[in-house]
Amino acid sequence: MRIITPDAHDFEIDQAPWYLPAGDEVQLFETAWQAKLPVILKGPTGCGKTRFVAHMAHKLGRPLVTVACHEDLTASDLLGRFLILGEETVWCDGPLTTALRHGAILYLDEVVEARNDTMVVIHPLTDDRRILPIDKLGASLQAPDDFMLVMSYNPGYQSVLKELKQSTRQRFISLEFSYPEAELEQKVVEQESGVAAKHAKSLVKIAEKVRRLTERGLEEGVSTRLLIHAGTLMARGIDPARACEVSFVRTLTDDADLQRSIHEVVRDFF
Amino acid sequence: MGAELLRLDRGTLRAWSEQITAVEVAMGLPTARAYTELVLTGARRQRRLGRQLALDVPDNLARVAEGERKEYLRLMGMVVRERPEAVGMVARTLPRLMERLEGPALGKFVGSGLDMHDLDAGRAEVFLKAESASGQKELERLSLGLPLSAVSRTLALYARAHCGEDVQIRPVPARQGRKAFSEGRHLYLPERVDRYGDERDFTVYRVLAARTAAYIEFGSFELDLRKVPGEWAHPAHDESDLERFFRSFPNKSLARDLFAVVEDARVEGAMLEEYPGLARDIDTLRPDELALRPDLEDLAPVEAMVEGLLQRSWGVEHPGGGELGEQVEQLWQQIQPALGPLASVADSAALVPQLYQVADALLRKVADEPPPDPKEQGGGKGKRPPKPEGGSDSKPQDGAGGGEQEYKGLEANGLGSAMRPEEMTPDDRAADEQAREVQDAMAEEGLDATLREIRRAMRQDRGGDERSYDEMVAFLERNPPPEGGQVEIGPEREAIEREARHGGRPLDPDADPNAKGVIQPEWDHAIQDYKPAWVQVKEHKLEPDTGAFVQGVLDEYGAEIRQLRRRFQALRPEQLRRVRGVVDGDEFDLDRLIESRVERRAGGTPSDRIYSRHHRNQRDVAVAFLVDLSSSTNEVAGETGKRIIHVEKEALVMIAEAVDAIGDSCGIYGFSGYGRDHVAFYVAKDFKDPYDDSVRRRIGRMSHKMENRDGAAIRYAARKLMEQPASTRLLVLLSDGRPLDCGCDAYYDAYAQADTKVALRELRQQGIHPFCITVDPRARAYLKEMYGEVGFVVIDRAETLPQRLPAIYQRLTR
Ligand SMILES: Nc1ncnc2c1ncn2[C@@H]1O[C@H](COP(=O)(O)OP(=O)(O)O)[C@@H](O)[C@H]1O
Ligand SMILES: [Mg+2]
Repeated sequence: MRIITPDAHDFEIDQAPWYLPAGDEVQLFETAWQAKLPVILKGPTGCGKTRFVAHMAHKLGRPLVTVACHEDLTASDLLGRFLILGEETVWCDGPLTTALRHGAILYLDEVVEARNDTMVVIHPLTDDRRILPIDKLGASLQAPDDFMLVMSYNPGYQSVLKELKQSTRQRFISLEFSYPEAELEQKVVEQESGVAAKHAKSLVKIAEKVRRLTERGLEEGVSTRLLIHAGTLMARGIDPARACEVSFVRTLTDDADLQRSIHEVVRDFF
Repeated sequence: MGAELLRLDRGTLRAWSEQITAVEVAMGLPTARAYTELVLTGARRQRRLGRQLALDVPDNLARVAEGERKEYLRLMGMVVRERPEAVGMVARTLPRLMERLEGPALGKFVGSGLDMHDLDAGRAEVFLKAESASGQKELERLSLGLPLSAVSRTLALYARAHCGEDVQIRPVPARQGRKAFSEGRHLYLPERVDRYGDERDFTVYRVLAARTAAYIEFGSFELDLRKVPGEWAHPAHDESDLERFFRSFPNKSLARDLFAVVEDARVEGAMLEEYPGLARDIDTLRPDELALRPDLEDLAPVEAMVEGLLQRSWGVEHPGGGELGEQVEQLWQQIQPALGPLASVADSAALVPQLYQVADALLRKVADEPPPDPKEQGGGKGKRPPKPEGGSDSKPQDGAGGGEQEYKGLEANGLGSAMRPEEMTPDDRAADEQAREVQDAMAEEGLDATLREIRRAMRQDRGGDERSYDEMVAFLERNPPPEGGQVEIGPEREAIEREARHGGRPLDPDADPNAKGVIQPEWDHAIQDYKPAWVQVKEHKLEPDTGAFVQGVLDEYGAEIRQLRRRFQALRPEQLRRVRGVVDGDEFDLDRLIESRVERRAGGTPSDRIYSRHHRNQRDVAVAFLVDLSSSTNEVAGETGKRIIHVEKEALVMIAEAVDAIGDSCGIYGFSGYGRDHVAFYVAKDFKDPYDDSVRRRIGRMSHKMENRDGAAIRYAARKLMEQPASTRLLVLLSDGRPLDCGCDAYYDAYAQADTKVALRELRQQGIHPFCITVDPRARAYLKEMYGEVGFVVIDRAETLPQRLPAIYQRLTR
C-alpha cells in the first residue's frame, strides 16, 4: 500500500524568524532537544511562544510541523488516515506521523483545546521509548533523534473542563513565558510593526498599566501581539488613539467601566 | 472705606465694624475685602440694606466652603444690584444651594428664585430652599452634572492602572469643601462636577484623578528628610516626614504653600512628560482654573508672591506685571533645578528654605511699614514676633497660631495644595511608621527602598495583618444575633434549642437540633500540621420560606433569567455528539468505511462498524456552590442599599437557573456557625434534589448568621462532591474573603487563611476544582496568598454579582 507523506521542504523555515530572547529559554530548548525531552511552553496568548518555536526550529535546522489544537481534533487527524485515490487505497500521514518521519519539531499549539482522549496518542512518544504506535497501519514508528515534541498552553484559561491532565503534563519540561520586559517588548513592537520608537514606548507603557488591571476583573492583559497590531496601524498612518481603540481597548473586555478606564489610559499617552 | 460707610449710614458702619475683624481672622483678607465691598454696594443702594448685609453675610459666609466664598459674595453682589429686596432670602438659602450646584447652574437656579420673588416672596424662599416640588425638580434638573458615583469605578481602575496601588476613590469629606486631594493612599474627589454640563465634566474628574494619583505615582509622599540638607524639627510619633518638614518652619502655612507650588510644578512636569495626552486636557481646563484664582492685586504682598509663583507655574509669565512679575520670574528661575526629569520630592523640599527666606523677609518688611490707613486696621496686627529658627516646640496644628496670622495662604481660598498628609488615618500612619523603621534598618545595610515598596512588601509578607486587635473587638461588638427568618418556631423546638444554646448564644432557628455532627481535621499553620478531629460540622436542611424573596428576584431579574436560560441551554455542549464506528447509525463513518474496504481487498474480514450516530453527550459536571452566611455578609453592598447576603442569594437563584438550563448537577450550600464545635452547613439544594420552587424558597431562607470557618465548610462540601459520580467536580466558594471564627478558639488572620488555603489544596488533590469569588470591596492583598493556588476573582461591586456569577461559571466550564 502506498503511503503519502507531505514533503519535508514544506515545513522547512528558510528565513530566520526574528526572536528576542527574554532569558535562558534558547539554551534550555536546545538542550532539551539534544536530550530528546519534550517541552511545554506555558504563557498567555500573544507573548511570543509560536515565534520562539519557529526561531528554534530554524536554529536547529529542523522542519516545523504545527497543529492548532481544537475540540474536534481526533487521533486520526494527528496520525493519518486511509484515502481512496481512484482504484487505489493509500495511507496519508497526519502531522504527527509526518513530523516523526522527517525528524521535525512538532508543535501542538494551544494543546488544552484538544480533548484529553486525543492527547493520549502522544504519550508513548514522551517516555524514553519514543515510539508512535499506529494501529491502523499495524506498525510502530520509532522517533528519530531529531524529532521533538513541543506544546503550548495558556494557564490563564481557567476552564476546569480544559485543564491539561497531570498524566500528560508530567511528561514535559516546562518553560514559562510571560510578556517581555518593557525594554524588550518595546524593541519587539518597534521591529515587528515598524512604528516609531516613541510610539512603541508609549504602547508598552500602556500595556504595563493595563496589565495591572488583571486582578480587577480583566481576564487577560494586552498581549504583545495586540500591541504590534496597534503599532502596525499607527505606522500606516492611523491615529494612535484610534489604533489602540480598535486593536485592544474594545476587545479586551465587555465591562464598560473597565473599557472606559483603559480608554482613558490610552488617552493619557496619545 | 470706613469713611465712606460713615457717610452713608452710621448703623451700617457699626454693624460692619463689629464683624470685620472676625471675618478677616476667620476667612482671610481677600474675603474680608470682598465682604466690605458688598456691604458698601448695599449701603449705596439703601441704608438698611447695607446694615442687613453687614450683619447677615458673615454667618452665612462661614457656612460656605472656603473655596466657594468668593462665588458666594459675587452672587450676593448680583442680587444686591438686581433684587435688593431678596437679599436676606438669598443670603440664607445660598450656602445650602452651593453644596449642590455650582457654576452656571447655580446662577440659573438663583435667577429662577429671584423671578419668582417678584410674584410671591414666600414661594420664592421655599423654592430656593428646594423644599417645594418645583424647586426640587428644578434642582434635580440643574444638578444633573456628573456625580462621582457614576464614574468612581472607572476612575479607580484608571488610577490603579497608573499607580498600581490599591487606590480607592472616595468623596471629599463635607468639611473639606469640594477640593480634590490625596493623603497618599486614596484619591478624594468632589461628589459632583457640573462645571460645564457636557463631556468636559468628565475631563475635570479625569484630570483631578490623574493629578492626585500623580502624587502617589511620582513619590510626593515619599519625602525622606535625611536626603534634604538642613536642620529639621525633631521627629514626632507617627508623623510623616512631610508633616515634620512643614513643622520645621515657624510659619507652617507659608512653608506648606511654597512647597506645594514647587512640588506641584515638579509633579505636573513629570506627568506631562510621561502622559502627553493629559497635557491636552489640562490645557483645555487651564483658562477656567486660572479664572478661579484670586486677583493678585487683592492680595497682600507675600500672598501675591506665592500666588504669582503658582500662576507662573501654570504658564502665566510675569504674573501681576511690574515689580511683582519680576520677582516671580526670578524665583521661578531658582525653582528650575527641582523641575528636571530626574528631580524628586527631596529636591522640591530642598528649595523651600530659600524661598521661605525671601517670603519671610517680605513679611517683615510689610509688618514694619506703617499701615497706610490706621483706622482701617481691625486691630491686633503688626506686632509680629520674629521667630528665628526652626522649632521643635509646638506639635503640628493648623490655624491662626503664632506666625501664621500674617499669612493667609492659598489654603484660605480653598485653592491650596491637594497633598494632605494630615488626613492619613491612624492605621495608615502606624503602617508608615513601621515602614520607616524597616527603611532605616535597610539604609544601615546600604539598601534603598521607598516607603511604598516596603509597605507593599509588608502587606504581602504578612498575609494576615489586616485584622488588628481593635478591629476584632469592633467586629465582636457589631456581630448581631442571627436573623430569625420568618418561620414560626414551635414551642417544643424552642425549648430544645434553648437547651442547645451555648454560653448565651442566640439561637439559630435554621439549626436542626437533631443533626449529627461530622468530625473533621483542621490545619494549624503554627505547628505546620493537622489537628485531627478538631472541628465538628453539622448539616441543616433549610426550610422553604414564604417565597417573597424569590418573587422579588423574579420581578427584578425575570427577563434576564429567561435570557440566561436560553443562553445556557444553547451551551449544552454539543448536545448531540457524533459517535463513530457503530453498527448502525444515520451516516457512514468515512474512515471506517474505507478501512473496511481496504480490509476486504486485502482478503480479511471487514468490520461492520462503519456508521456514525448522533449521541447525547453528557457534560458530566457536578458543581457545589458554597456561600458564606457569616454576619459580615449583612453589610451593605455598594450603592444599591442591598446587603451582601441579599445580593449573594440573588446570584444563587440566577446561577441555579443557569446550571439547571445547562444540565449540570448542582448543590447549593451555605455555612456559618461559631467555634470549632458548631460549624453549621446549611443545605438549600442537595445534588439529588430537583431544581424547583422549593429550592428557590430554600435559597430565600438563607440569612446572615454568625461566623465563617471557611476551611471546615470547604472540607465538608468536598465530601458532598466526592459522592457525585461526575467526571468534573467543581466547588465555587462565595465569600467576602475574610475567614473568621471568633468562637471559643481563635480562627482568624494567618491561622484561618492558612487553613483555608490548605483545605483548597486538599480539594485539588481529590480532583475537585475549587474557585473562589469574593466580594471584598477592599481587595486585600492576602487574598492572593490564600486563594492564589486556585482560581479566584474579586468582584469590586458586589451588586453586580447576580450578572457576573453566571458569566464566571460559563467561563469556568467552557
Ligand atoms: N521575544 C520576541 N521576539 C520577537 N517577537 C516577539 C517576541 N515576543 C513576541 N513577539 C511578537 O509577538 C507576536 C505574537 O507572538 P506569538 O508567538 O504569536 O504568540 P503566542 O504563540 O505566545 O500566542 C509575534 O508574531 C511576534 O511578532
Ligand atoms: Mg465573614
